[in-house]
Amino acid sequence: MTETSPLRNLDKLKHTFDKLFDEIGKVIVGQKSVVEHVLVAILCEGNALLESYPGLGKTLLVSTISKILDLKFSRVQCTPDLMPSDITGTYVIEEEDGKKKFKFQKGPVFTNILLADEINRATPKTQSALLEAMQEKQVTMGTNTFKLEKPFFVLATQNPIDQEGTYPLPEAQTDRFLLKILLTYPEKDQELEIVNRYTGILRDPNIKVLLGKQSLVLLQNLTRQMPISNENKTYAVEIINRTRKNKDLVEFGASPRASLGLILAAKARALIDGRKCVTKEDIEEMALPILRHRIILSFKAEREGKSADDVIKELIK
Amino acid sequence: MKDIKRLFLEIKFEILKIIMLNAVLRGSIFFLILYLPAAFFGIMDMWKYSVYILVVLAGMYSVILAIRQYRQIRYKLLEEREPELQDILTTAHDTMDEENVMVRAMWRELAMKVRKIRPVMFFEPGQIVKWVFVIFVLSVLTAMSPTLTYQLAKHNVTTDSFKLDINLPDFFDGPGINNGDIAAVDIFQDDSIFGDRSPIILGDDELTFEIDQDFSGIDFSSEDDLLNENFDENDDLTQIFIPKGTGFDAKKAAANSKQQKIWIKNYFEAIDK
Repeated sequence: MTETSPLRNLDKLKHTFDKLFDEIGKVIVGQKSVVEHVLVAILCEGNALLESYPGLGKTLLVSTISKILDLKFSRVQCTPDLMPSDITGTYVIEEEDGKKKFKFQKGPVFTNILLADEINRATPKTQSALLEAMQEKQVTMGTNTFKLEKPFFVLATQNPIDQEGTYPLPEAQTDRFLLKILLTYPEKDQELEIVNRYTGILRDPNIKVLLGKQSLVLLQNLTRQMPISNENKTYAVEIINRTRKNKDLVEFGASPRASLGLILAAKARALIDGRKCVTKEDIEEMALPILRHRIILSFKAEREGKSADDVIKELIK
Repeated sequence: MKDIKRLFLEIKFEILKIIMLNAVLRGSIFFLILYLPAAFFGIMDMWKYSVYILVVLAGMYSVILAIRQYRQIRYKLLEEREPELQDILTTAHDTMDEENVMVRAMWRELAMKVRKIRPVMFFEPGQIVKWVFVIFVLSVLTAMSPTLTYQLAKHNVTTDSFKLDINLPDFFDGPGINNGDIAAVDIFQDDSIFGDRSPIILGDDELTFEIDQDFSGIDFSSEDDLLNENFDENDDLTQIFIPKGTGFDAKKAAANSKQQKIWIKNYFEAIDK
């Protein structure tokens, strides 16, 4: 095989991602940017926090993606009585050859895609159980550490309404999420399409597996190898710096982790778009989901009724 | 990187061709723009080498223009023409030392994009067509410049009545008339002579007559010398104003008539001018 063959295959990346979007589109109507951002998070080996009102197809989206990517998928419904061991797993006593011994029973975290539904309903103790898994891709139980299978990706959802009895994620934890993706209500015609699709005779959407685990890991590697100019790197860092300097709008700015995330996410977006380098547009596009959960607005901005997105857009200008 | 540099050199060479074409076209326009007023004011006749001076000036203008345009060719120009190239070019520059699959893919794409940037990008057909059109118009004007510039004579026989204007350029010369010859037309045989154009051409030059039908405005007293002169039948000049087929006596009478003599006088004056 000549050296140019893999390079030629790289030219087909755009086609691959287009097909991926088409397959997801068989199940999910619209929400293209949400799908794109979820894929960005997967390519960056990051985690995403999905915020939306109930009934917008979060779970369906994640399960569909896991099917297309041929990944194991687990779902945890977070409730106040959910224990950390319910997620990570626990030691159980097993009898083997007449001897009793502890055996680690893996929890739902041992998967490729973990959907933590309504994560803000779980207690902080349980929420923090996810921290190590999200960041280190491992689970420590007692003296034993268990590596999670690659690729591993947590998609947590939270509901912006009905906040009573919830435990808002602490700043340290939200920072672990690479992206905060907002799902909005579909357009009228899209909703009509949803109604048509799911109120008649239910047909199997016949979703095809397009990528395997190995391909996904390869794509994750390619994402990190995506070239970016010094100018664009500086621009990304400058945006993050502005969140710290502009005290008029932002009380607490983003951490350097945000700079890493922004550049990585911009690289992933470029890869999905089939480009061979990162553009300024990638950085600006990814700044919103990267920063909206990492900045705390100032009183002035809150008083003016500005959202985090409004402030980020002002900072980018 | 060497391949990319070579590609850019190729592009530069192609652009150079376009620049040369532009320079030649604009130089031609410059020459014609200079030539027209010069011809109009008769400057071209003042010096023998006037046209060469204009050619040299136009040539210098073309060369200066070409050099100026060539110096303006920068990668930035390529980026402006092909915005997609901007990021990839900057990134390629910044990641020159990196070695991985994506960087190689980027270089490959850069090479492909650079190959796509053919001189067509710099070739503005609309502009070229516009210049060619300008050259065409200026050329036509230049070709017609003799008629626009000066007329051999504007001789008024009278102040009113019918007018005979001959404004045809020399390339409308009739057959068999050589430079310096006196061409003739039988104006008396032509029923439509009054008010209509009829070519009376003197070699390469033109002649304009205003003819008074009844000759009432002519001051014959100032034409004594001419009036006293007699012409005979061998004098070719008389053929000018006497209809063909006229008998000898009639010819003689006509040639010696006052108005004919005045016409002949005016004719010579016009030639002298």
